[in-house]
Amino acid sequence: MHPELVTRNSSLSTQSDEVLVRVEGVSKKFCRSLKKSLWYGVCDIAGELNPFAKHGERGMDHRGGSAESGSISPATIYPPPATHAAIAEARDKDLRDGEFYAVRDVSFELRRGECLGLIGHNGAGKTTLLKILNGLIKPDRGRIEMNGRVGALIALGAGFNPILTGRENIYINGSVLGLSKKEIDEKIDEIIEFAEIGDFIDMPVQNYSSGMSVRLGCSIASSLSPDVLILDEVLAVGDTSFVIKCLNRVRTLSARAAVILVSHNMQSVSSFCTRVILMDHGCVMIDAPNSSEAIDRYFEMVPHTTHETGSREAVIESILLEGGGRLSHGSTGRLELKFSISSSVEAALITIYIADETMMPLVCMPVKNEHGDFLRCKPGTHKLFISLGSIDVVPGKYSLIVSFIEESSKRVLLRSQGLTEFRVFSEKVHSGKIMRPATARMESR
Amino acid sequence: MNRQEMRRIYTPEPLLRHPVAMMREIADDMWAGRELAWRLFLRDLRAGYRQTLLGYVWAFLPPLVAAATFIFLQSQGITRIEVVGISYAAFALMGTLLWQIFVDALTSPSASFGAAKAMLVKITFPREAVLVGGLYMVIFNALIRMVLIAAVMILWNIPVGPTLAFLPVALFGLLAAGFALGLFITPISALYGDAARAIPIVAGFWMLLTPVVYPPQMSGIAGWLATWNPVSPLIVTARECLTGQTLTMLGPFFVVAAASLLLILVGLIGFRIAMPHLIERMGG
Repeated sequence: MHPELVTRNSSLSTQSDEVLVRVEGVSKKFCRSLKKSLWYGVCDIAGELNPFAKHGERGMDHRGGSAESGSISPATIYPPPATHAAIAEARDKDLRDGEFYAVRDVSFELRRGECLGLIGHNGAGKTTLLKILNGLIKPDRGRIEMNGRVGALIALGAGFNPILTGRENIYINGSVLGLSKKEIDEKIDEIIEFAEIGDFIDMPVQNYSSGMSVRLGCSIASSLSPDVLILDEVLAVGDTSFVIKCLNRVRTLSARAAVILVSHNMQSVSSFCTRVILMDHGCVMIDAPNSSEAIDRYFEMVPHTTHETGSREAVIESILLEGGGRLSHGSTGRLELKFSISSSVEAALITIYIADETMMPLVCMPVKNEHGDFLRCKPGTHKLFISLGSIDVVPGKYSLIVSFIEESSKRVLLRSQGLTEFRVFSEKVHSGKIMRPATARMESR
Repeated sequence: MNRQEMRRIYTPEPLLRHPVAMMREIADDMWAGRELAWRLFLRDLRAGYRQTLLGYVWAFLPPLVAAATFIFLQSQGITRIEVVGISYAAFALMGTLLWQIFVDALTSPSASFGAAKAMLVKITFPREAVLVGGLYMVIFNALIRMVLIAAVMILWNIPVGPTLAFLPVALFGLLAAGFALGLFITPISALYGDAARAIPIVAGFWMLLTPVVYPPQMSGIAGWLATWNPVSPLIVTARECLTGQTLTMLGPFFVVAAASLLLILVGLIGFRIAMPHLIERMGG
């Protein structure tokens, strides 16, 4: 995503007391085995159809009963961790064989103008929670109240028929999303224009490139003006300029709506969201109005891994980053690197990169000597004391990549990723990847 | 739109606990989805035959082939089915064309549900529209077959009687019965692939147990089936309308038609209850 175009939307929006999404103690069970899951499905349907069946074992929760009569319940209560665990344990008893909780005891409230970021690792239950919020599947426990029109940028182009033209598909897709023919007639020119499809609109959708169908789907879905907007990693696709356009559209929509955003991109979460919930194994780990706290925890949960490639004619014996993995923004990074070069190598050159949490290199630093020439390393064991200069990457989680290349043949001797994971801290939240001041000389009359 | 209208509450509580609210929701969604249903039908209609050479011929090819089989057997004297009044070929063709209407209605809900799977598991919309859209398709195909039946009647010079006026009701009965049964199969076929495999086999055998290519029998198991097979009165009545005969099975016809309407109602309720459980298991 493109954080430079995103500002915290709280400044734009009109936050009100109007609660659009109310989630109270929602849990959802899932079954790992397909055969069992299908059979449980049969049992659940039969159980619901049988008016005499006892529904106690499904764990009916009447906490939300009062809200049905129209009264607004007080602020959502989060059980302290101890009771949380106790409840979880007690309720595990009503899991059937092979089942587990995909979502467990999730509660929150969302008002108009708020944007909630749902983060967590794969399988944490984010998408399942969205499906419950969207009314696709029923919760096994708890209560959900959705007020107003719900729009979801999840399945872009759902219902597209490949044989029909783009124009025909706009009518179908719009209709699926709840627009009437009249409304589509009014919006169709705008939709086509926004999708930047041009003459292709009267061509069958099967001839579209994947980017074009995503654009068309996004254009249709974002032409609605929902009260509750659900976004699930949709903006990860499409080309750059369109993503920016879409993002701006979403930002306009989100000023008037309650937004729930699922993303693995922490920068868009921190710049978009007014509140972040971190989920793990179906439970809410943190529900914080300050996104950085939740994002910190999210990064801590990532298992640290290193990857090595190359001929292994160079071996890193030890690597130490001064500051114990926690650096403040703007400080000078110092690195101690001990390595050995095999005798088959004539001379090796070293390059160090700072990579972000997706292992994408951000800063490339060829290692040079004090005269500004490339440092040539002969076979043997060496220890280097390297200054990385000022750490000007924005707060986040980073790691180093060290690569050894033979000088003449350009052969990769070793490329080691994910070394000495470290965090960069700062008082402020910055957009962009690198933050350093620009100096100006002012001439005034 | 009215805010109160737009409030949706999801709880694990069985929907049947509030039957009135549920019925109202079904009715609301049916109404809200009327345009969508029409659009889905148009989509399937346009797309369905766009990539074929024979086009709409496929709508009546299966019953023609089925009828041809029996016409051949009869013409060679392998079967000796006695039909009063009209030629056997016309009789068999009418039978299979009418039977196909029933089978179409039977397979329609599960087929349209399966085709809409990608949509159902991802977005919320009035789900009943998928069923209704499929039903429009069945009706459309039925009308095409009626054109063929008309051709058969002209070709064989079949006299038209006053009972022809009852034909729409008879066809409605066929559609309703097929659709009702299809609704009950839908949740099963969404969970287990067995259903989709079993339907053609069962339907093929069922046709032979129904007076489709032979007139209703008076004795034996066939006689018992003519009375107790629920599709028998529907097929027999519809064909009698076409051939201008007196309607002999009007009583059973109305019983089956009324029961079908009731079952459709029950089926729609069941469909709505089963839906979240099905979506949960269909992934997406």
